[in-house]
Formats: sequence, structure tokens, C-alpha cells
Amino acid sequence: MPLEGGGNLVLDLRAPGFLASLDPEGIGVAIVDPVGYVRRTWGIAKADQPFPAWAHVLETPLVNLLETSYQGSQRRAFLDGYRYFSASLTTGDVSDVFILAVNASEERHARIQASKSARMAHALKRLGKALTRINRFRPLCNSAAHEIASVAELAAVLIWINRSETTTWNLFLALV
Amino acid sequence: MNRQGKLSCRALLPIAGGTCVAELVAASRSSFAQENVLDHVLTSNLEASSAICGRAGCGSSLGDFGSAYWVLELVGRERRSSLRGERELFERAREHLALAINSGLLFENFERWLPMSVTGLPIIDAA
Repeated sequence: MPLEGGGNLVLDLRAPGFLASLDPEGIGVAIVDPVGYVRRTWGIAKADQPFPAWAHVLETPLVNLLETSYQGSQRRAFLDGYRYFSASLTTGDVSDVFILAVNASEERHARIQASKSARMAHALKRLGKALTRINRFRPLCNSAAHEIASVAELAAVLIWINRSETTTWNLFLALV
Repeated sequence: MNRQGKLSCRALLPIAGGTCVAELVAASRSSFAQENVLDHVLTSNLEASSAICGRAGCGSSLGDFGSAYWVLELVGRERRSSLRGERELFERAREHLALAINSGLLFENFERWLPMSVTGLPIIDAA
């Protein structure tokens, strides 16, 4: 805690001060030492919970967050449904990193939805181009099947036809 | 797809005992989705055995055009566990393709009809 006249006041508490009054299921804090070991945790960042970040913290994108914060800057990152904020925490000669983790499941859902919408828009744009370029239905089906298989990364696209006067199903187009 | 798969795919006769997803989709007039083509009796003989090598399968009805019923069938790649997240995309693609096929058929029918109506002579198909 920075003091008004200069210097810092360090309080070694069991709970993270006023943050302890927040929901521990939705927010958490951790203190990570310069080697990458997690010193203290609270809330969703507790080590005994299946929290995704701490097991291999140096192998995740959070390593960039730690490196920047060791140099004194603040950073934020999103990983696996959690939003992380980090800052340097210097007490005497020891320089740790303070990490605030927030459950960001809504953000994750919004990101997935946005990604899906962008993918669909891209796919329909390509399909629309293919469909408007050709008038005859045979090359049109062929072109559309290629586009669908390409954008959706499919193994096969089949188009079946059943003429009403017969009971036979004919394979009109097979793109494999 | 290998030659044997193509031959078995070319025509399926339901009364002879053969059946396929397209038949089910046409009968129910609704989409059909299967997590793994190996697990379903309708897909294990055709899609799985004819070297398509896909996992998830999805059949979707395109509709009645030009006195025929059309069905679109999609098979995912082996590494993909499910096509569930893509159902909305497939539905939109199906709608667009159905409209385009209908337009294509109308265009070709119109092309056939127009010279006859003008000249009174039947069209000689070059193909």
C-alpha cells in the first residue's frame, strides 16, 4: 500500500484486505514469485481448486503477463474463461507479481458467439459468391459443395436426388 | 472415395433392402444429425465403409424442385468430434443452396422454353 509521504506499508494478511468481502467464487488473487511459483492464493485462484493457470503458469500465455509485471508494468490478459490483471508487488528486495483473476464466463461466451458469427458471415459470403456467379444448377451444386466443404472443413458433401416417379435415391454429387 | 464406394453410392434401392440417410430425411422432412457415422445403421454401411472416413454426419432436406426431392448430406472429418456447433451454419447454407438450385432449375427451364416459343423449333441439346 503506497503511503502519502512516500514509501510503502506492507500488511501480511490471511485474506486480501477489502477484496475478501467480494465473492470468492467469482474473483481471486494470487502472488507469484520471480521463478513462477505461486506464493499465496485466495478465492477462485486457490491452488487446491481446479484453476487452469497455476499448474503450468510458465507454459501458458500468462508468462508474458508475469514478465511484463516483473519489470514494473501493469498488464491484463484473457485465458480459458478468466480475465487476469497483474501488477508488480515489491516488498523490500523481493519483487513478486500480484495477479487479480476474475471469472469472465460471460466474456468467454461472447467471444465464442462472436467467433461463430464471424465464421458464419465469412462462410455465407463465400457461398453467396459461388451461388450468384453460376446460373446452371449442376455447376452451381458443384461449386456450392466445394465452398461448404472448404469453409466447414468437411470430409464429404453429398447431394441426393429422388425422382418422384421412382424409389431410387441417386447420388447427384459426391465431393470427398 | 474409392471405386467400390462410388458404385455402392450411385443408386440405393430401398425396396431391395438398401437405405440411407437421404431416405430418412426425405421421409421425415427434417434434418438428421449423427455424432459418429460408425454408430448408426444408416451411415455405418455407406459413409463409414466407402472410404469417406468422416466422423460426424448430418443430413438436411433441400426440398422439392423440378419433380425431385433433394437432400444435402455433410460428413465431418475424422479429427472433429462433433458438428453440433456448425448446425446453424449448415442450416443457413442449406437454405441458400435450396434457393439457388430452385433458381438454377427455373433458369434452365426458361432457357429451354424461350427458343421454342420464339422459333417454334425444338432445342437440340449439344451435350
